[in-house]
Amino acid sequence: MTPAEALAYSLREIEAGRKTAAECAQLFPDVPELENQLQDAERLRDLRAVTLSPAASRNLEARLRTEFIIRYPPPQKQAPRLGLHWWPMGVTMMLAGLLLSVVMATPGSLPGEPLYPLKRAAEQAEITLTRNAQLPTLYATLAQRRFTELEALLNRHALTPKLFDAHATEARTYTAASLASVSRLPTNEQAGQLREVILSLDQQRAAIARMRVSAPVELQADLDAVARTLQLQHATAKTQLTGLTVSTPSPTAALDNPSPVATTTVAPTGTSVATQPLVTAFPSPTAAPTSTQPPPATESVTQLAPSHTPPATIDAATATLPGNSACQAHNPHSPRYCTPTPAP
Amino acid sequence: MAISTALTDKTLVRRAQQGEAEAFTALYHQYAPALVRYFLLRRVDVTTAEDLTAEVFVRVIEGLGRYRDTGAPLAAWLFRIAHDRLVDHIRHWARHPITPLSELMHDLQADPETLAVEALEAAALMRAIAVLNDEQKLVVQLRFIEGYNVEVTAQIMQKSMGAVKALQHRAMSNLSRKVMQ
Repeated sequence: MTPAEALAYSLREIEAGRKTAAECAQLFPDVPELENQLQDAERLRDLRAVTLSPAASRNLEARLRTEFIIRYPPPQKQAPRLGLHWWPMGVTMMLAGLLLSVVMATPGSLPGEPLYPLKRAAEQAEITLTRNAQLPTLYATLAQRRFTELEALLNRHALTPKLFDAHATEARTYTAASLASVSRLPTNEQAGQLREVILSLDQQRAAIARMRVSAPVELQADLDAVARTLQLQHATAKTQLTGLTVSTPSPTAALDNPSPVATTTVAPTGTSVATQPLVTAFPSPTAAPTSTQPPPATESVTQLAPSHTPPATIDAATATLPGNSACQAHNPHSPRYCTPTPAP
Repeated sequence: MAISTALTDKTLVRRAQQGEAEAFTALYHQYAPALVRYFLLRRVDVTTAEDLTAEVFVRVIEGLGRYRDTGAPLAAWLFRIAHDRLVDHIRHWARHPITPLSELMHDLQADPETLAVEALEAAALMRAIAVLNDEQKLVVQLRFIEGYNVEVTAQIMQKSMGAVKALQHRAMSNLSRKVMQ
């Protein structure tokens, strides 16, 4: 038996509990290093304890779970049928409406205040009840709302690094979800929603810039990190919007669309739009992902469907330059909605 | 890895594909520690290991809808994604930090009372693992740290069982020699 076979045999016997390392070493006296190797293998098992701390693991789990729920939202409930089952749906709708009324009445509540949990619960209800076509705007609004809360807390000198991290992470996840949900919309609806997302990102970047002026030293590094992430997400959204302004021919366009459609090839922008990552929930040093799933995935998550409509024109009424922060406090669904900042 | 784990993974993946968040969370608990160890054994700092592990699971979330059971263990997919993430990380961050092992052990969870003794032993082992090549590191982790048997290790590494046995022998020879130094 070769040393490799002796080792394999010994490991099998030890794993089955039939022999010890010393007994195996006696079986193979011509493999003197065997006992040391078996003892080292035993000690390697202790490295199973090497992992993240429970707090770090819980944090990571929460972030990933949020990402999963956003990506795989619960199925939209069908319209209730008359009968014994309609009343729970009716009660749920009433409660959701009540919660929405509460959040409409308390837009300025902040973490630590009595009504804040209700505000958050109402947001979750809002997500459940919102149609897919409006989800990108809603997610963008929720992301912006987190930054508004952070700014208000900072102005009250009540912002802690832990609170900042939690809020910034949530905002990041909502923005990623916003971009991801855009890709699920029909092509002719994507541009409008993308503009809303970009406006929201502009608002968030402006909030970070304001916070940098007055934030304490210990928060500056975190603010820088968030600013970089926002920049990346902003660039992603703008690239996607640019790609939508010129229609892209699909490889199967001739089969999918019998009627000829004038198409223009998108000029390459350094990174192919079809593979540009939309989900940037976690800052990644890479720009172009490589597909690693076992089935050879030829369909990209961000593949654009062939556009049968004329290229979208930019609506001058809605397009705003970065930095134009028109605050419409009465419309919570608009990215330009802002929580009234309490007077210091 | 027992047959029951493979069946559990299949069930969890199927339920996660149907949108069940708890199933995804269960997969996270099952594989996140191993993925963190995968990155740590390649001398990535703890924060980066956490970020890279997160990236792996984000890729899993993105690819879950297209994932099909081909008979290979789920771990094969996860470790392949982990490898790709690590390659991208190294490619884009050429000056990746080589974390001193003492710092590494301090960051990780450990019973403070036994930290000194266990940390020293663990540090010696991790120092020995660090000199192995990537394949040897992986076989050591899969066989002896994560506890996969030869058959499953072979499936994850896409090698024959004979090749895995030879590889584990070479890895343990090198590791034991380094530990004795």
